[in-house]
Amino acid sequence: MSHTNFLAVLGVTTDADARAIKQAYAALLKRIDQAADPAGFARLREAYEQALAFVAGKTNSAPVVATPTPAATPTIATEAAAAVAESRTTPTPAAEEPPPADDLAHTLRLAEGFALAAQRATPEQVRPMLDKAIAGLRRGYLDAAGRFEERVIDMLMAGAVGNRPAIFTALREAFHWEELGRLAALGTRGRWIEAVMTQEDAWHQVLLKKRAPILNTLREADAPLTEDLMRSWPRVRGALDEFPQYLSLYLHPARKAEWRQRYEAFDAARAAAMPDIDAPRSHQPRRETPKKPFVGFGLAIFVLLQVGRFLGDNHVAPQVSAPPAPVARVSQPYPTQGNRVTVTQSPYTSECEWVLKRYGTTPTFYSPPSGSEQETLLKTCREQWAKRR
Amino acid sequence: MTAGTPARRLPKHASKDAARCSQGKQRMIVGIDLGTTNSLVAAWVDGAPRLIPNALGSVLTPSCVGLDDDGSVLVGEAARERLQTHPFRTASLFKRYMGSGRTVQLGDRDYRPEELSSLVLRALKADAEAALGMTVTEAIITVPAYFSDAQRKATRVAGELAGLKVERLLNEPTAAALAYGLHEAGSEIQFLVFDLGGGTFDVSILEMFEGVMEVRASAGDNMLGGEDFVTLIAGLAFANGIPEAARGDPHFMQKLVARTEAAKRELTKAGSARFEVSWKDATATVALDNETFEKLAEPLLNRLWRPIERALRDARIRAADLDNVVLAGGATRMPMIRALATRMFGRFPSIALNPDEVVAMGAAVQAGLKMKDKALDDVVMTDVCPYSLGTHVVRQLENGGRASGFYEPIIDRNTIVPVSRVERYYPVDRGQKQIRIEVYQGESRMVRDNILLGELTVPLPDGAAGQQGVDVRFTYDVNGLLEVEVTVVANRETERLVIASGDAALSPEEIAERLKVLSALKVHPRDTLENRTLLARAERLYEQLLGDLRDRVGQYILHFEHVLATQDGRAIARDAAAFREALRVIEEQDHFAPPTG
Repeated sequence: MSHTNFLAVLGVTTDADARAIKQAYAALLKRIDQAADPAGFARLREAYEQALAFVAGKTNSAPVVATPTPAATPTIATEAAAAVAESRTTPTPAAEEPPPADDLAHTLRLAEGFALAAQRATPEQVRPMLDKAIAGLRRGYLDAAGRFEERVIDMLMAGAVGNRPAIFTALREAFHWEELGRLAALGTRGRWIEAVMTQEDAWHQVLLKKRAPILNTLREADAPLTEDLMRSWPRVRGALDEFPQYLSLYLHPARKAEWRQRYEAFDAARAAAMPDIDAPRSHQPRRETPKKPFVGFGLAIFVLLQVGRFLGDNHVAPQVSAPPAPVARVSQPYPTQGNRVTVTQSPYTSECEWVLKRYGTTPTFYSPPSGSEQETLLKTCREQWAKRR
Repeated sequence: MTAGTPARRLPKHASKDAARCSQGKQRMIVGIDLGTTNSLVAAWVDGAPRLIPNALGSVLTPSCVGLDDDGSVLVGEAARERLQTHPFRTASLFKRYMGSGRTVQLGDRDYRPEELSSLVLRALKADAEAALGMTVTEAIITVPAYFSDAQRKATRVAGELAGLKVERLLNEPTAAALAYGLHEAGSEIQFLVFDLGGGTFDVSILEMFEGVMEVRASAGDNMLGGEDFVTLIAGLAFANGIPEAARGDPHFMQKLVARTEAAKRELTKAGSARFEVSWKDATATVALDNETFEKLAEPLLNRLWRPIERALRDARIRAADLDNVVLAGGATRMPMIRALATRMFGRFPSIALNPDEVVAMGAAVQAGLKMKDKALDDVVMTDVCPYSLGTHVVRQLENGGRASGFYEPIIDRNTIVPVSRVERYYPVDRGQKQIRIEVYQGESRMVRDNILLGELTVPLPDGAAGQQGVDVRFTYDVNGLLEVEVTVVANRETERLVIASGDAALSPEEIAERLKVLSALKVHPRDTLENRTLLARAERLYEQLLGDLRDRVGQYILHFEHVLATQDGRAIARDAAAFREALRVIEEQDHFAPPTG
C-alpha cells in the first residue's frame, strides 16, 4: 500500500497526527463486522498500522502510541481508599501494606551480586544461584526481573565478570532466550545474544579435536599472559576472528587486544632481528596459520555427513514416492548470517564433559578476583552501564 | 457485590419486564462463562449486562454433572454435593480435559468432556429461558485465551450438543476487559487483565481509545488455577498421617477435597484454617495460616510470572506504564494472589467488579455487540491470536548444507485477528513426488519443542512444475479457530487441512450420534432441583458426620422425604426452608471443629 493509499483508506490527509488517525480508525472500525468481512478488516488494520508508522517516522519522535496520559491517573491514594472499602468484607494484606516502589538500585545490586558470586561457582552451581536470585526478585516488582537480566547481560558484554560461559548458559535457560521473539524485545543486547548463540551453534560443528585445545588455551590466557602463551596467538587468532562474540565469553576482549598487540610487537621484533631473511614480511604481522582451515575442514566433514544423510534418506524415497523429505524454504535462508545449523545436544555439555575428563575435576574458568579487583570490576561495570543509558 | 456494578441480577423467575422487552427482538444471544469450577450465564437486557440466577437462586452454577439414583442427570450444586457420596456417578473439573480424548465414566457409560460440558450448558440454557421467558438458541461462550485449537473446537461442539449455536468463542480475559471497559467508558487507558480461574491462568494487556478496546497481547498457562491450590492443601493431609494408599479411595478423596475447599475459603475469610480428616484408622489434622500457605504455594505463584512478563514484553510496555490492573476469576480472591498482584505492579489492583462474575458480564456485552444493540453503537473490540502458528522447514545453510527441524511461524503470536497469511515453500529435492506440511503451535525455535496440530501431504506434479512449490495459507478467525489451506502453485490444486490429532476430535457424524444419545437422557426437572439439592447436601453431611449430629441429619432426611411425598407445595416450601437452615447450622459447627467422638 503506498502512503497515499493507506491515508485514503482511513480518509485522512498527510498532515494528520496520531490522534486523528486513531479517531479515523475507530470510526471506520465500528462500521466493519470483523467476523463477516475479514478482508475489509485486514485492509483497514493494515492501513492503520502503516499510518501510525508513517506518522511516527514523520515526527521522528518517540512512541507511536500517542495516547495522552489521562489527566487523573488513579492515584495510589484513591485506589487505596477503594481497597480499604473492599477490605471491610475481605481482609486483604494489599490494604495493609503500601505497594512497593520500583527499587531499581536494589535490583541492580542484586544483579551485580549474583554475577560476582557466580564467577566463583562451578557451571552446575550457577543455575541454582540464578534461580535463587530470581526467586528473590519475584517477591517484588514485576519489571525487576527484566532489569536484573539486562544488567547481567551488560556485565557479560563488557566482560566485567568471569565464568561467562556458565553465566550465559544459565541466563539463556532461565530467561528463555530460545523463545521466538524473546531476543527482539532485548534490543542491542538481544542482537549480541543472537550473535553468541549463532556462533556457538557453528562452533559446535567444529571437530572437538580442533576446538578443545583452543578453548583450553583461551582459558589459560584469561589469567595473566605468559610469554609462552603469547606466542601461541597464531593458533587461536583464526577462531577468535571467526567467532568473536562467542569466544569473548572465554577470553576477555581487553585481554584479546593485549594479546594481539604483544604478539604483533614480538613478531615485529623477531622480523627486525632477521631482516635479511624475511625483509618483506617485516611490515605486517606474520600469518603462520591460514585463516580458517580447521573450521573449513570441520564444516566440510559436517556437510559431507549431512549430504550423506540426505542421500541415504532420499535414495529410495523420491522414486517410490514414499513419505517425502521435509519442506525446504530455499528462497529465504535463515535471517541471521553465519553457519547456523541444528544442535543435536545441549551446547555446553560436551564442553564440560571433555574438561572433566581432562582434569578429573570441575574446572574453574576464571581465577576469582581479589577484593580490590572486584571493586574495580564493579566500577567498570557501573560506568559501562551509565554510558549505555 | 460492590455498589455501582452495572449488573443487576434478574429475579429468580421471569420478570414481566424482561419478557416484554425481549419479545420485541428477533433473537436473544446469551453470554456463558463455562468455567472449570463454576459456570455462569448472563444476557444483555435493557442496555446492560445482567446475570441470570439458576433454579436455586444463585448466579454461580458449579460445573459438576452427576447421575441421580433414578438415572436422571443432575447438574450444578446437587451434583457437587454428590461428589462425595457418589464419586462413581458424578464428574467435575472436566474442563481441564477439553480437547483431549480422555473420558469419564458415569454409571455405565463413558462421557467425553464436551458431553459433560454440554449438560452444564443445557442447564444454563434452561435457566436463561426461564428468566427471559423465551427460547434461547444462540450463545457466546468464553474460553481461556490460551486454549488451543483442539480445546476451542471441543468447546464449540459442547455448545452444539447442548442445542446452542455458538455465535462466538470469546477469550475470557477479553470478556473481563469488555465488562471493565464499559465500566470505564470514555477514558483512554492501558490496562492488564489478570485472570486466575479455577483451572486456567490468562493475562491480557489492553489499550482503550475512542471506544475501541484493543487487545495488545495475551499469554497464559492452561494448567494453572485455583484447583491447584486446593490440591496443594489436600496434599498436607498425606504429609500429616494419611497413608498414600488413600489416594485410591474416591470417597475419601472427594471428602478431602470438600474439606480442603472449605479450608481455602476460611483462609481467605479469617486468615487461618484447621481441619481433620480420617481414613480407616489414620487421622490427620491440618492447620495452616496465610503465611504458611503462601510459602507452600510458592512454586505455583512463580508460574504466574512468565505469562505476565511475556505479555508485557509483547505489548512492548513496562508494568509502570499500566493505568490499571483488573482481577478476574474466583481464585484472585485469595489474599496471597491480591498481595502478589499488588507487589508485582506496584499498585493496588482494581476491584470495582466482582471477579467471579466479570467474565460472564463481558460475554453478555459481547452478546449485545453481536445483536447490534443501540447502547453499544460506540463500542468495538479487537482481539489477538495468543500463540504463534507455523510449519516445519528445512533450512539451507550458507555453506550449502541443510538442516531440518526448524519451526517457522506463519502467524506470529499476538497478531490481531481475524488474520490470513500465506507463505510459499519449495521441495527439498528435485524429483520430489510429495510435500508434507506439518502445522505447529508454539514459541520455540525448533519444532520438537512445539505442539503438532496436524499434518497434510500434498502430491507434487512431475518435473519443473513441482519445483514451483506450494502456497500455505493459515487463516485464524475471531473465534480462535485455525484453517490451513495448501495450494500447489503449478496446477492451483488446493487441499484443506482438517486438524484432528488422533481421537481427540469428534466427526460431524459422531456429533450427531452423541446429540441423539444426550437428548435421550432424562434431566432432573428444574422446578424440583432445589429440593433435590437439599437432599444431596444432607446425604453428603450424613456421610461426613459422626455421632449425634449424624443421627439428627438422618432423621431430617427421612422427614423431608416424607414431606416431599405428600406433594403439598406449601408444606414442602416451608419445610425446605427449615431444613436448609438446620443443615447450614450443622455444617458450620462441623467444618472447623470436627467432632472428636
